[in-house]
Amino acid sequence: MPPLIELKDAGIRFTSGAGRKKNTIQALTGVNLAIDKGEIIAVVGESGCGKTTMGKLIVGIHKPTEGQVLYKGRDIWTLKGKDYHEYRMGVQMVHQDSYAALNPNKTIFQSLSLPLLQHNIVKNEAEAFEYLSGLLVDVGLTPPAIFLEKYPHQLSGGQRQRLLLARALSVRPELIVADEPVSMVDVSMRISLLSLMARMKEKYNVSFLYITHDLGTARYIAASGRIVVMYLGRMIEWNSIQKAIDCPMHPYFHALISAVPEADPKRRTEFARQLPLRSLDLPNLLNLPSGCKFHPRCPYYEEICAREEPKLHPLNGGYVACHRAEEILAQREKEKSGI
Amino acid sequence: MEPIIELKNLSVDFRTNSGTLRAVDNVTMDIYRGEIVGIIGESGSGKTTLISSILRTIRAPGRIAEGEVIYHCKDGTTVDLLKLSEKDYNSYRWTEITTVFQAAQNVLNPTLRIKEHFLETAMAHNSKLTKREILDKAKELCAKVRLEERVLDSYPHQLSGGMKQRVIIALSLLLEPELLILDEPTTALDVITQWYILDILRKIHEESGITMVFCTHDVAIIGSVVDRIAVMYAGQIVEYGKLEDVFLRPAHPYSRGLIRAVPSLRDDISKRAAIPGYPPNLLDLAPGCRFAPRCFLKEQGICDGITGNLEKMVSLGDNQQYTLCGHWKEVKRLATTD
Repeated sequence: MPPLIELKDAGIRFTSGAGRKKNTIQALTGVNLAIDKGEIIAVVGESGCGKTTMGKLIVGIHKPTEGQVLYKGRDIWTLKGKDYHEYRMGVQMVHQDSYAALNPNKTIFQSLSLPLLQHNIVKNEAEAFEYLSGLLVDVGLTPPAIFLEKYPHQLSGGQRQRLLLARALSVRPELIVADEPVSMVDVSMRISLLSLMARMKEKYNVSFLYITHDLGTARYIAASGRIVVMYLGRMIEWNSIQKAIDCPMHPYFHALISAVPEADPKRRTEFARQLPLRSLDLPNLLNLPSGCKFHPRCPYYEEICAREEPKLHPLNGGYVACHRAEEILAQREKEKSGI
Repeated sequence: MEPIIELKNLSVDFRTNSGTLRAVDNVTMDIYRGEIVGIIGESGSGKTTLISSILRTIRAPGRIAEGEVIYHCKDGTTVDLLKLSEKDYNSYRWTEITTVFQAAQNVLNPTLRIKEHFLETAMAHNSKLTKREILDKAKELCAKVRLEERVLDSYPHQLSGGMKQRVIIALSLLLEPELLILDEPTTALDVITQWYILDILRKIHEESGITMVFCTHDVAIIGSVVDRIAVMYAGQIVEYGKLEDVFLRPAHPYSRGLIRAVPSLRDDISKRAAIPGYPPNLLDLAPGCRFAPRCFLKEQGICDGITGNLEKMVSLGDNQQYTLCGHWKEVKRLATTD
């Protein structure tokens, strides 16, 4: 049984400008990732690292310039007719900006019933109303009849985000790509949205690709899932979430985890006084460094790093792309036991 | 401790088509000299409106309905900032009180070089300095926020978001102010850049002892920087106190809920819980406590939603913690079991 979605050496190049000013930006390079049914994968990284581009590749908004995107073992760009339709229905997206994702001139019912009628999931409007009411109760918007009559501007950010999730679920997909779904929602409601997504995963057995820059939230949705760390368009580490956070392997991911602020004053001292980085600023995407893309910022950098790009290799239950990962890990273990 | 700003019964109204909306309601608080004070709250809780009233940047349809903002000058004299004429207030801007706005990246003029921003700002507020003196000061500040000198000759579009944010912080310190107000200074920045900005702010505070007011919705950031914290909900300050007290021994159900709702990297996942429900509509407030519909005290029958609502904040003994909840003893007791 092939995985639900598989990226095979997928890469994408964008061109900018024209004539002599023409430039290409390699937004994604050699990504290999398989998503199985019912799995949750969190993708983290700084802005500009290609995580949204990867999401869009999976949904079929961007066409890869290198490699393939496979849906149940078949390239999505060769699918036709019924097969293409099945893929389109099977993979849905939840966007970051919930206000922009809903038509302000239509009521929620008008917006949400359209795909149902279009794809013959329901026969008529009355049935659609019933179907949507059930879904809205599922995502915690009660009483549903009131919400269905409202316009997007009458709802709060958290409520709109729940609606988007209901809309994605309404066509019974197998995979939902959620691109920063909670970054615009208030702190007090973030956790409830995250646990709602986890609950929906259980109930409908959908897979989630959760794209975020907030490591804290990644842990809540994908407590049992995997985490993928990206840097400048490359996958540099993946592992099960808890393992990755307890024991980051790549020096970049280690820095990323150290930079997460800690709210609890008792843990204040754990908030790094010094970041394990040589330089703060991200290299220019138009002029990438040679070898390992992280070496100009890496404190562990050696001559080989500038020469050769490391490949993903297995370590500690996960995968990492770093020449010196084993050494660094052993060194850190030693320091830990020393204290 | 000596205060630098005293807010007294401050209220701000906005006139809308469906009635008057009170965005800040009867806020009383002191900000002490040399401290970092955090103001947290959800969007729409009135944080930005509150600091706008200190900065006197509230424009129609907004209006300061009542209250005073007393500023203590360094020489010991006090002045009510709200009573000053626009011209008189300008002599306080940037030399005494400065700000770093939300989405500060958009503050820079795209057609001016960074150094021109420094010159323009200095000349607008203090004409005594020479061009040379201003640029020397600008270079010194750039070093402080860890920017290279060449940044001064760049245009804003040539800098990254984090660099622009550092430029704005340098710019705000140009005329050696006493009070720096930061509105969501790290929102929309990456964790690594965010760490850097927080580190810079902390170092600046250690060196110069400048007073800072730090507005954000991100509780995790505030926990790593501030001394004292004010929690805002639906236009009111519901709790104010030392960081350790508010975090570890909260005295208002909303603060307790907010702290428990922060996703973190290391905590036990099962202990985290969101606050149920949504914030109230400020145009249609029910009498009594504004947090009651979402409050666990009401759910458990300890509070009926009316009696727990105090007219103004009460002090909890001598530890400088203030709360708006009448059942704070109960909240404290429950918080110790968290």
